[in-house]
Amino acid sequence: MSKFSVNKDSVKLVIILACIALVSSLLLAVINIFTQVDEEAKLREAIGEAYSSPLTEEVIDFSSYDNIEKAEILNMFRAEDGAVVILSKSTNCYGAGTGISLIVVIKGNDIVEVVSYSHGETPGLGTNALTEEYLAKYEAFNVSDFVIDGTDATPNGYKKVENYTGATKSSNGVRDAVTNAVRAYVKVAKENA
Amino acid sequence: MPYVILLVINAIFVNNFVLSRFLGICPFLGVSRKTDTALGMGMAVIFVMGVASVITYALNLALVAAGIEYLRTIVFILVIACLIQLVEIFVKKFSPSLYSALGVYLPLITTNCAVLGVAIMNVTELANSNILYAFINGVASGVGFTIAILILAGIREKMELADIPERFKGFPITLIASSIIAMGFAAFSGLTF
Amino acid sequence: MRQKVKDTLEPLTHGIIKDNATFRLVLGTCPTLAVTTSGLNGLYMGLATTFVLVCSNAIISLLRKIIPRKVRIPCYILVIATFSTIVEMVMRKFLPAIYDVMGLFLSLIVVNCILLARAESFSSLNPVLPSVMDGLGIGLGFSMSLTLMGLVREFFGAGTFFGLVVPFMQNIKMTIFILPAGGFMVFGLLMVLYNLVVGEIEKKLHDYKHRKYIRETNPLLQAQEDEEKARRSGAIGGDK
Repeated sequence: MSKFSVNKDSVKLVIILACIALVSSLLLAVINIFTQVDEEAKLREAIGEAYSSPLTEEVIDFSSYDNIEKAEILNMFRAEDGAVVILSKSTNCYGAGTGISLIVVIKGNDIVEVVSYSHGETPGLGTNALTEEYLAKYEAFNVSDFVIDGTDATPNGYKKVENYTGATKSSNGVRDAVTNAVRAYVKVAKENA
Repeated sequence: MPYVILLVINAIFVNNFVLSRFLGICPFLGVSRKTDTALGMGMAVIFVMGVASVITYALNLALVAAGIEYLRTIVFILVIACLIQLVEIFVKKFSPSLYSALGVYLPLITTNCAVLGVAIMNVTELANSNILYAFINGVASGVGFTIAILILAGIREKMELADIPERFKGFPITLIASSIIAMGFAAFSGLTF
Repeated sequence: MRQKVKDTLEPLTHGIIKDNATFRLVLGTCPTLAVTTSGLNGLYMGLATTFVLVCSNAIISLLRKIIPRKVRIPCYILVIATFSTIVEMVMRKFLPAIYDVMGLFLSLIVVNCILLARAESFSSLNPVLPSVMDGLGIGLGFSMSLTLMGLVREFFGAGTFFGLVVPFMQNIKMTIFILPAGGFMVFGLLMVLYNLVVGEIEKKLHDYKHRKYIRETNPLLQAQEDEEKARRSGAIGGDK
């Protein structure tokens, strides 16, 4: 008899837990529908502000290429003048927050535009490495300035952007994001050739 | 292979969980009075973080496949809470010596944000992520936590004998000591990969 | 620390100063150190935590008769996790810049020890209204201390005040205050300062109450005082 009552008790426990879990997940599902963000529209708007040539509807599908990570490259578009617009993210846990996302525009062999898209850097410290002046230093680079061996791409030893003093990690994050973009661009260019 | 080494150095030194990312501060301040208790806590954290990393990573794959990523936090925290209970039961049954070393600290880990932190980080920030890297990241982060808490415990043991102003006794002086340790670890942020 | 209260407003004032979560109870230290790199960040984090705290306190106090003791912790965690996910979603939609800065720590509100501590020690024992008040009090105290810490670190580290540039600080700003090391240091020093100031005030208040109590309960002292007062007014009158 006592054994039975124990069972009944634990059944009650499980039912209450399950009820709370069910209610909360339903609530979350409803709120999720209302707060969904249209990432692509937001991104296209940001690119429109950053780069003069309008984007084509084409979204470059890189999911089939090996060694391009979903965490590194968030999106890839093609502009009407033939440039490739890449939203890349720093991935090696540099900086603070959720990582640095940059919009990198590459046309032919040149890096045309580097613009900050979203970041969680410390105001007054890490944000120094995300100013327009600092990011513009990368616009003097060519794709061939990056040493690309097999899967890896690093800025050439002779030509590199110095870290911003005091914002070492954020500067590394910016370099990482730009490098990711270049690596992905080279791969896409190779596949398309 | 080199990526694994980078991952380990990054988790232990450059982005030390306690001193650079501010995760798991509660046990860092609370359980660092003596070196042996600090070591016990550290070992328990390494163990739980390693196991939790693997399980939550696998679960996240299922969540993504089902399209309910918004339930990530709620699922992860419940799984971690249950996991810690299970680990406690298993360790108690199969290795009493280990249990006597870790047993007291296991329940404390439930509200240690480092465990949930590493689980979320594994799925959002880690590059080239797969289940092995998630495991390595979890264990290495745990090692970083252990190193930090051991250093602080060593300092606090010496501080017992020191003549500290009345108002600074307890938490304030511990925080200032951790500040000096953090200055040391800040030097690692210059490491570039 | 289990407590039951009758007065509704008492928990509100208690939470802000006497039981200040950051400086007195030393709970929720991770967000305190991590997101206080500027005053605004601290304020937003504090408000997000306050929202979760008030809602979860209310729900837990509503369900306190239903939740069985054996599974109370998972139940509390479920309720707290639901609200913190709601905050995360709403912030992602409406405050994307703040969402990026908070990053991980917005999801980590779940494991903030303040929430579980209040659920366990207060709202599981008290009716809804005091629980909400307690959540509001503790949450506002938490927001206040986060903002204060953020302001101090921002002022010395970046030379700004809520994002506005302070001219004379620009040449002498010390980056260390924004780095992790400075966070620990500022937290330690502010804790000393807080305990010093609030401790003094509380002592004075206690002394005053004590004296008042003695005066009211001791008829001999009262008579003496009255006599003195009468004499003094008599003397003044005599001068005239």
